[in-house]
Amino acid sequence: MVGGTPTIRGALHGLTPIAAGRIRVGPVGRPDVPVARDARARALALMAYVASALRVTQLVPWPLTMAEFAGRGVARPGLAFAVYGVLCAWSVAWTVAVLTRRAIPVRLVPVDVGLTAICLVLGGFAAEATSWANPAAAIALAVAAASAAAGTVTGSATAVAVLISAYLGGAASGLGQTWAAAAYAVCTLAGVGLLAAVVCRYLLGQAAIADATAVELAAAQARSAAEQSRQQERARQYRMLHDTVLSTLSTLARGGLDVNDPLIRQRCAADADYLRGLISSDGVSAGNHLQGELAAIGRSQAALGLRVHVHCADIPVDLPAPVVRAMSDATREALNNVIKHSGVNQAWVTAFGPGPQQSRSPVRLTLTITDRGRGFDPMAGHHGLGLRESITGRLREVGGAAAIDSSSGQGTTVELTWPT
Amino acid sequence: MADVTVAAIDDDRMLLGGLQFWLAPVTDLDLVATAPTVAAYLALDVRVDVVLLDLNLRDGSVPAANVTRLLASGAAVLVVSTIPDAEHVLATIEAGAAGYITKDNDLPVLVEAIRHVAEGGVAISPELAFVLSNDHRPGRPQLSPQESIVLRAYASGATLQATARRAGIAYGTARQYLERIKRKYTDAGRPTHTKLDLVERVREDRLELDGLHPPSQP
Repeated sequence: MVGGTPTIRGALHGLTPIAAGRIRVGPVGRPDVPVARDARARALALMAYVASALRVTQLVPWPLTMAEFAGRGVARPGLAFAVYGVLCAWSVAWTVAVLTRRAIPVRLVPVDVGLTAICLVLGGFAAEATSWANPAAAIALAVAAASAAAGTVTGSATAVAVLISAYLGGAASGLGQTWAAAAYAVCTLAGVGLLAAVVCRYLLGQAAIADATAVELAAAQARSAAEQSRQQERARQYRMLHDTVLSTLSTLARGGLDVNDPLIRQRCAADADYLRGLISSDGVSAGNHLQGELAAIGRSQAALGLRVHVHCADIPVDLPAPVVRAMSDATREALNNVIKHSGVNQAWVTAFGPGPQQSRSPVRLTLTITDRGRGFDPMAGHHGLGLRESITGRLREVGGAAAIDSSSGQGTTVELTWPT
Repeated sequence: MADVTVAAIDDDRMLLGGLQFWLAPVTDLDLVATAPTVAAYLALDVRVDVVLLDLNLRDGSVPAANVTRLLASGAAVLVVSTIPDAEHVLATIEAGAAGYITKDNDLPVLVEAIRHVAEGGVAISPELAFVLSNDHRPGRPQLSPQESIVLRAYASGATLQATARRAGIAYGTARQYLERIKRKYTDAGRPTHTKLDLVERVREDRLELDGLHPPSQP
């Protein structure tokens, strides 16, 4: 019934994809849409099996009756046997169809009822004396039950009405039928139809309740997973705040430090960058996760003496986690290169998505790492393992690409794009 | 050449103090006034070449309106802020501010921006270029593909030289493009400097309104 790894997005602010166990929920951001309807499916299957069994057993009485009474009660044996033969063939085909589908197809019901009705009329015309002599009478019971088991109330009521009319029509055209026998057959048909309808309604009602509960459970699990993820995000933010701004402020509050010390100022600037990153993000999402990562990378590079200006705009909220990771790692590596080779102490990291105007653009994220340092001639070949593997390789693994633009004396820009 | 006179409007007293300390050794720039609000600055009744205006003042004044009032006093306005709040940065540029830089820049960047603005130029920082290049408002000024490429490259932090090379154009052309983009924004803001302008502006607006409801309006 359920397959694949489900993800919950959108309404849950694009949190990291959460596996919702074996219960599937609706598409993007609508965990309340019922998709899991397996209780109803099970009820319909059970009803189909019972109806099939009933159908097969109802084929048995008429030949036994014929054998015992040696053809008495049947005015036109040729027609009676033909009717029985047709019904047998149809019943076998019907049973196979129902068993393979594990449910009674609703559109099969009119055909089933129609054919049986015709057989009832012809059977009544062929028989005489008693109701059981009609070769279609017993099977009509199974058909009435089956139309109830197909799942619709109006369908089953109509089926019973049609079958009774057909039986009565057949009985009227036959010879020597007694009305008491006809009444017996009519009441049995109506009774079986009613019983089947009530039981099936009850089963389907219970199934609907079970399905609704399962859907609610899935939604609750999704909510709880989202809440848990939010808590984790909050814990991560607290930890980051503790490691950065709080520890800096506490150190300063203890006094005795020269606030003009370049190292202290650098650390304050980095912390300010981190806070700026937090302020400019609205809520928790993968896009903002990237933003947070970039701010954190900028901060850690600041400790190495590199001032990083991070700017983000329109970052898609549903970036896959591996893409965020590859982009972050490649950025860190590119900044390491800036420290090693550029000869300057400033760098710019800009990340932007397609924005509302270019929402059909295939590239959903562009990230550049730029310095205004000494640059190099990209044609001169060898520019280190760092660029080739740590940057290009990482991006290739997640379906992205990296390009480098540099010229002697004009700084360097590494441009990362995803997807290619 | 005469010294450039500068005023700074910011509600952060430490920043004002720091700025005084910072600009003291720069011989061609004179910081002649500091104030916490635009009203307080205008009350000082000094004339300066360049006003450094904090984007979001604590008195809750509207950034674009602040720019308009300062322009009326005859000064060029260079907007500064900690966070490049796109909406207000765009509004101040449209109101006629000569440039925008973030407070995390170094002294040489600030000094160069002030000098440039004092000469009547524009100060387009990578931060401003980034805000402009991610402007998705429906009524934004339309940029040519070449202008977009230059803006995007400059917004990445690349030098103007590298920007020009990447766009395949001359250095001077790249500079012209950036200035043209800035002018498009200022023109879109239609600053109302004089009463005559204001009358013109009202007429334009009425025409626009009339255009919206041609048959039903009497």
